[in-house]
Amino acid sequence: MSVTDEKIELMEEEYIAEDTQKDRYLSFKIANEEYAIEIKHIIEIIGIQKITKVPNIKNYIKGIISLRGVIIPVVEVRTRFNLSPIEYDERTCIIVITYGNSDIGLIVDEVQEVVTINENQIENPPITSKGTQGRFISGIGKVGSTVKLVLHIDKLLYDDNEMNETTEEEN
Amino acid sequence: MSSESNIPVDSETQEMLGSFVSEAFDSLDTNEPKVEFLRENDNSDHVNAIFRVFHTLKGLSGFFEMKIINKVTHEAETLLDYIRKQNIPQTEDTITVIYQTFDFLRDLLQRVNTEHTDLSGAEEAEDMILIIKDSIEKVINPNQDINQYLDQETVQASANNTQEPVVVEKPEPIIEQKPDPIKTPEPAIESPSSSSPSDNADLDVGNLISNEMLDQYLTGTRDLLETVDKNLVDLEKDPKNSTLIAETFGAVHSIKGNSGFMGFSEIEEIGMEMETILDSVRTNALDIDANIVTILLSNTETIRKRLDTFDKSSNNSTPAEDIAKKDNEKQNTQPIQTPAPIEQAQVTQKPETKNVQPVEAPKPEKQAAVAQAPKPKANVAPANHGMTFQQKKDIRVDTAKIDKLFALVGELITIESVVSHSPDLVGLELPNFSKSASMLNKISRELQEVSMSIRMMPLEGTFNKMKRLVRDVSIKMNKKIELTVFGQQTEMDKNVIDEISDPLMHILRNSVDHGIETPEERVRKNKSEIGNVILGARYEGNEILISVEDDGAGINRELVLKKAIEKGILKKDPELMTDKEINALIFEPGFSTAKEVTDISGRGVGMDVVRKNLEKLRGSIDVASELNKGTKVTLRIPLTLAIIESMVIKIGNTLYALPILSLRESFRPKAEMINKTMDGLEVVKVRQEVLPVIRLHEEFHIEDALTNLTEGILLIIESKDKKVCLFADDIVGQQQAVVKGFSTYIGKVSGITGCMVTGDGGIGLILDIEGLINMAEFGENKIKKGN
Repeated sequence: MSVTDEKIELMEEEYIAEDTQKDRYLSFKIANEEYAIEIKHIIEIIGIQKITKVPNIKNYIKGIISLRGVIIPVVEVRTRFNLSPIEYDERTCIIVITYGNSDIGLIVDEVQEVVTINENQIENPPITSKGTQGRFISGIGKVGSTVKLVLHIDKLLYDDNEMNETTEEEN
Repeated sequence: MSSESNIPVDSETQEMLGSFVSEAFDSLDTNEPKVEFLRENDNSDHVNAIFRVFHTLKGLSGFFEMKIINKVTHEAETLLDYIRKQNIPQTEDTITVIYQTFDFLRDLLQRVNTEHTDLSGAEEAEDMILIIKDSIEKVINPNQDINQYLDQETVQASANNTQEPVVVEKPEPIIEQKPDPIKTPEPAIESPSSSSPSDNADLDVGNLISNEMLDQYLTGTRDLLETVDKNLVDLEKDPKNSTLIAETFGAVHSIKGNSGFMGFSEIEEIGMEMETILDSVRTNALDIDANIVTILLSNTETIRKRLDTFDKSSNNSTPAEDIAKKDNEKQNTQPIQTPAPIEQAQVTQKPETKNVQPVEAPKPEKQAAVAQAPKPKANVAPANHGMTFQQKKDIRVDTAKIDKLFALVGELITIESVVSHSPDLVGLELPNFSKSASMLNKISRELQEVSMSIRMMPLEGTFNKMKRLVRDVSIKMNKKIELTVFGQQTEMDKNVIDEISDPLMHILRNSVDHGIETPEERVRKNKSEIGNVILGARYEGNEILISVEDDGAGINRELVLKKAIEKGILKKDPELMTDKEINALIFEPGFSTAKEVTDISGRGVGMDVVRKNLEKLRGSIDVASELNKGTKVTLRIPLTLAIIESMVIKIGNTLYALPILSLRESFRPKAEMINKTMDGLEVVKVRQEVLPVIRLHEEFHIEDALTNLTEGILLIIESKDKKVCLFADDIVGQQQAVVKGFSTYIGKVSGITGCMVTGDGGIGLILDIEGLINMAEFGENKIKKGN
């Protein structure tokens, strides 16, 4: 019962959020490439902090952090993209998103800005996108003269099936 | 009391009887002081109150077929009726008789309590009745001057009473207790007061179900319906989602159970139909499609409509049972509208919108029934219900709020510790601060305890559901079963209770279905025809043990092995397997030894669900069984998921914690204590014991940890009589840990059950003691096998 209430609440929130946050994206950098995620998923952005390693889990989940008492797993997007790790510095950020029923932190090199990308400014990614990160891209958004790669959050978080890369892109 | 006078009753009746007895006692106790006022002038309020006591008891005892109580209360009611009409101060004699009656009724109730019948009081009852009759005469005779009409009536009534030795026949033990033709006076004396008792007979039964309960039932069921609706809609998009199916099934099952308990048999029936459909879905016999969703949704709508009518009628202050009666009556006349899924599936066209589906609930009739409900006897009706019920002072709170509160308290505890142990304070003399800090500590601990207790609920509700389940299943299976329940007052975290309901259901079903033999078979085996199932709960340390024990056929080792080989789930040489390991096979997915799949169990989905649910609760399950003697399944569940007393240890830079209950001792090993077995297993000799060492840093791939055993520390942990040593760098200290699960995103981590926020605001990982011990065992086996 409470679960349903919660879900309904969430749905309502999302509904309202969708209205005001439509087409709004947060852009960030990883290895000098610019990426964007829909702002409706984002709870907050925090600086890098101490991450507690959890053994025997997927390599790109760096561990967990405690955000005001809430335990949040953090995903290092670099590792997820099969890029070599870099030292965390003062620019390194954790973007805390909520997706499905989980709050998850994304470690990114640098957070940039909030931008508006209209739907018609987003193109489908090329089917043969280069690199591992290709399968995590849901579209290519144009903002002025720059290009932001819009992340497919579900695939970023859950898709561990590297083999089906091409077929999935076709779908 | 000799055991033969005890009438075996099923657990549900026993429960009902229990509430009948306790309410009756209550009512006698509260109203006894009023007897005193009968000697006063203006006594009509008190007379009425006492009249109602007898009257209510009469109704209830009739319902429960307690003939003796029924007889006595009938007589006493008559006495009070005369007193009522006179409305004058009563003599000492009469008052004594009423007191006597009170006492005697208590005696009878006591018998009901222990013997489940009042028949053993029959002889004394005859005497009591004579005394009361005598008193009736006395009430009438010294007052010759009462009016003619009354006089006539009394003569006739008492004549009536003497001619027929008050044999109260109750042929039908149904709720609709109709006015008894034998004891009701002739139509000639149809005074308003004499007709009121019988008129309200069914009203009194309503006292069994208070309006409060009805309220709770209504809100609860509505909530459940919402869940069902939502899930169904989701399922349409995601038909294979077993979690959703299970959740839906559970909700429908609860609706069914609750309605059954409240006596709303129509809703129960609808629920049952839904459950059957969902069960087929659950077991993949039926695939969810739009049609099925539509049918189910229309069913929930019907139930909801029905609930709405209850609501209205309860506002009209119609007692719940009355509604139940209406519900049942209607059920007799009105075939419910849940046909077999397939037939309707063909008829229905519009799948998605639940509102499109016309709801066949016969509305007009229902409303007519409600309209009739208000009782003409206003002077009796309002006072009648709720009389024996004390208002429970509880409120319904959204569990999400409690969870939030709980999370906040957890944070408070943590931050309190961070503040009190702040490194800034080191070396400072701060007497005032220390005082306040220790006060803060005390208060926050107390707050924590209180907030913990909010979530603690007795297992009673769950056990009651189980009683019903056992009853239903045993009837279905034609087995005679006596269910004994103990420990239903044991309190557990609400979240945990919710989770164990399903596993318990499966286990009990298994006990009844597979465990207990048919009566014939039991007789053949020289056992009593009636099978025994004992469901119990008790505390043990920081855990609750819930056990289900039966004296049935037990687990057949050979059969289990045979099946396991057939299904290819045997991973080990059967010769090497212990009984325990073989018993554990029944928890493998898809395992079932039932010769045939019944509608209750045998599909092999049950026990594996049980194990999964328990794992989720950090609990464990244990099966002990002896062929033809019975089976005992024990669930061990941590008292609460939320808090453990932990010992924090350090491995490299990471903090780990283990439940202090499983820690036996810790020590810094000397080199001569450490040995390697021939298979390369590291062991340490502690006094006379040789224990395997688990190097946590290896298990968890921690690079910056100590590797030399003599530099670090060894902790002996124990679980289920097995001990191992854990190797860690150092001990940090003891701490109350608010246990937090990993995010579902991470999922299950081997060797770790969850995490906690440590005193300095960092995170500690909580070790899965049992998992680690199993790992050690597995390691040993691996090595042995390798040889």
